[in-house]
Amino acid sequence: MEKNRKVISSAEYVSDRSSLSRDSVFIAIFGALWGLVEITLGVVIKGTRLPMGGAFLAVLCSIIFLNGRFFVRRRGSILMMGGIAATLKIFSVGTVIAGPFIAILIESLIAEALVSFLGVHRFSYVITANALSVYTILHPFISQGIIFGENIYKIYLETFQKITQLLQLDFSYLIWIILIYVFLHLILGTASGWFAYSLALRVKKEFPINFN
Amino acid sequence: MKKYFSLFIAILISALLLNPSNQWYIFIPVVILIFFVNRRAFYIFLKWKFNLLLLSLLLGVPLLLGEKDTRFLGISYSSEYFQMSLLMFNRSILILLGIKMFTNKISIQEIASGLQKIHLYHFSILFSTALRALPEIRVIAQNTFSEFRRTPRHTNVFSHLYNWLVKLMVRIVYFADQYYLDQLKQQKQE
Repeated sequence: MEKNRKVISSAEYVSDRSSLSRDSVFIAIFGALWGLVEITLGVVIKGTRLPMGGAFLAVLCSIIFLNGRFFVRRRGSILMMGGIAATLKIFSVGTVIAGPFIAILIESLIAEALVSFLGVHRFSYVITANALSVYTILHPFISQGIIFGENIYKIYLETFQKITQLLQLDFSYLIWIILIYVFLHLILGTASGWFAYSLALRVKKEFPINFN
Repeated sequence: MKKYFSLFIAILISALLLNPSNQWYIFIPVVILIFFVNRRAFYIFLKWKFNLLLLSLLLGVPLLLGEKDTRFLGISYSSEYFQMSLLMFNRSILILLGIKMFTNKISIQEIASGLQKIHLYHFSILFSTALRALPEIRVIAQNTFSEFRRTPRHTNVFSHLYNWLVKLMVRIVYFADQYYLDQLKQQKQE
């Protein structure tokens, strides 16, 4: 953590203060908060090897940037927040940071596309959180494909076949296990998307801001 | 920064170009190059979990998968999967060493100023602002979390957590608003 603090600090090399709009300030601050959660909680969750840990982290971060997006009614803002968080993450302490870096960028892209297309309301927040939650299942295959190459998929396929043979499971049972796993992610995504919108409404009520 | 970025891209390209016939002609020189550029990049091998992952990939896969067509010291393994694992092993090491070398050699502030040069001016300003605000955001989050832990719970755990998150978000929004107003004030004074 000490190394973290040493690297990530405002310094004389950063560009001079230029006049930023309120939207831009909010994007920067919510992006920094997202990055902070990724650096701190992300490391803890990875270390504890929590089941569905990636999904928990993704939905927690989605609550942050979806709240930010509620206050910044500008397309591209989630992508900017993701860029900030990903850049902060890649300079954090840790050996394997390439995977999380790619994950943050792809998640911000998915979220940006969905919210821009669907608009800012509870339904879009639920859909976005669900999409990100399910993406965490696919992400290891994508990032490992980049790091290890396409041969990793051949290894995964053969491993699944070995497991089904060992446990004497019909392949259809494996499909059911995967579907149940996806369903659990959808429950988590729905709850967090619903929660994110409720939280944003409550925050707005506590601190009304006029962005006109 | 440009020198290290170019080197990083070259390492990535060399990792992508690895195949069973050329891997040793590319892998060994690139690893030696990284060693001379930044020895600290090799500190990733000090983490036992990382080493365990690599070893299980290199040794575990050929022992468990594929047709066991070769023997070494009495242990049967698959030569096809061993070749595959070796290639993946070399590729992953090059990519991870390259990333570590790049992040060791450049500072986050250089990234912020470098973004301006590739015409991502607006993003570089946002990123600089985020860097400046990060210590304060960390303090806000830590203080709010300490309050959450100290405050006795009168409701169920979800309501308690919800109230805490509302508090955190309100403080962040308030801080962002104040940051913007302070910036405006400073601009007017200038």
